[in-house]
Amino acid sequence: MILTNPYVSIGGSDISSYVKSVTIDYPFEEHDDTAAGDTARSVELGLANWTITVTANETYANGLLNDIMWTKYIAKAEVALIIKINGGTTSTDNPKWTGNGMITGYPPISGAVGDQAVANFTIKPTGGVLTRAEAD
Amino acid sequence: MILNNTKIYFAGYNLSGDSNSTDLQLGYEEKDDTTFGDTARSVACGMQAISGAVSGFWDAGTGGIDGNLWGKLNTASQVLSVSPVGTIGSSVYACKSMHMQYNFGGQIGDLLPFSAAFRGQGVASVKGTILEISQKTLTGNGTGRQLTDVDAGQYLYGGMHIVAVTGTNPTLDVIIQSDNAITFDTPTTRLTFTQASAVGAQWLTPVAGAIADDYWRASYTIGGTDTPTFTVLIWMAIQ
Repeated sequence: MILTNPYVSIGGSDISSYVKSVTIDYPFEEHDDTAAGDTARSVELGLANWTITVTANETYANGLLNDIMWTKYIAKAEVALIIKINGGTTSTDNPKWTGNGMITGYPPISGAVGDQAVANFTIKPTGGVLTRAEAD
Repeated sequence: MILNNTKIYFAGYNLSGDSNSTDLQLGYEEKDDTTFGDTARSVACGMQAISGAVSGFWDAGTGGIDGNLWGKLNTASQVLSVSPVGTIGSSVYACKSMHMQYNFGGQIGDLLPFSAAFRGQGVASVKGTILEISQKTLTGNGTGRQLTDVDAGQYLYGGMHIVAVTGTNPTLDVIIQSDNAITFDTPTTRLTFTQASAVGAQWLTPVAGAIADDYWRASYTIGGTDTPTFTVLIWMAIQ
């Protein structure tokens, strides 16, 4: 499917209209639990260590993206997350991922003269997993 | 050869139609055993370190790749089978694995990609032969084929993926038989899968050699009503 209409809510703010890209990376930490009798290396999975990265069209006007997200970033507080692939209506074809995380990266300006200003958010977990659901 | 029909089965799901790239690493850890007197570095092979990766195009919906991969995250000992050619009689590489990383997302306007990573689960991988890769609706015997016998010290392995099931009260019993002739006049059952009635996968406990027979086939018994149908990949390996 073509990604045309992702839904991204961070800390209760729907920033979907600014979003250029969104990625959920969901790895578990690997721990070697190989023991006598094994015939190949064995891995046990530890804590989930997920990352959500969002790239958005930056705008600095009052009440718009930078104003919304910078406030959340410098608060260093846990934010609620809702990510959907295709719009705001959750369904079997449009599952939602929810969880809580911390915005750990938000360069307020990044680019060269003539470039489109973009905002890159990195969000890491605060001790909990992301949950997938096919209905609200 | 061109990779154009590669088959990738993970647990009870066929990822092939969603994927456009795969990488299976079955290497051994290098242990330096260089000693005095050697004139070049010497390496011994340690334990096998298994890792796999698959990437392609994300899709949701009932039975789609998203629900299957998400549902199998951090689930131990799932069967992963990859066949470069993907046809009956061709080679298949299989291992017991754990899905440990799932990644999806991208740019507006792009085809939404996904990638998944797998790690081994303490059991060495096997290279085997696909005995069946198709829909089965009738009880019968698969095509017999000459492979090799099982030497003393070797083991016979078997695996099966069931990726679709229809019908009413469907059941599938699969055995792997050997004989000393292609006619299979006196077949011997060597491996027996647990009766299946739903999507899933099995990795059988390997059977030790020696087995003198070198002709092999899968046989299956299908039960149920309303045209019970199973879409399967069945493989065996000797190593």
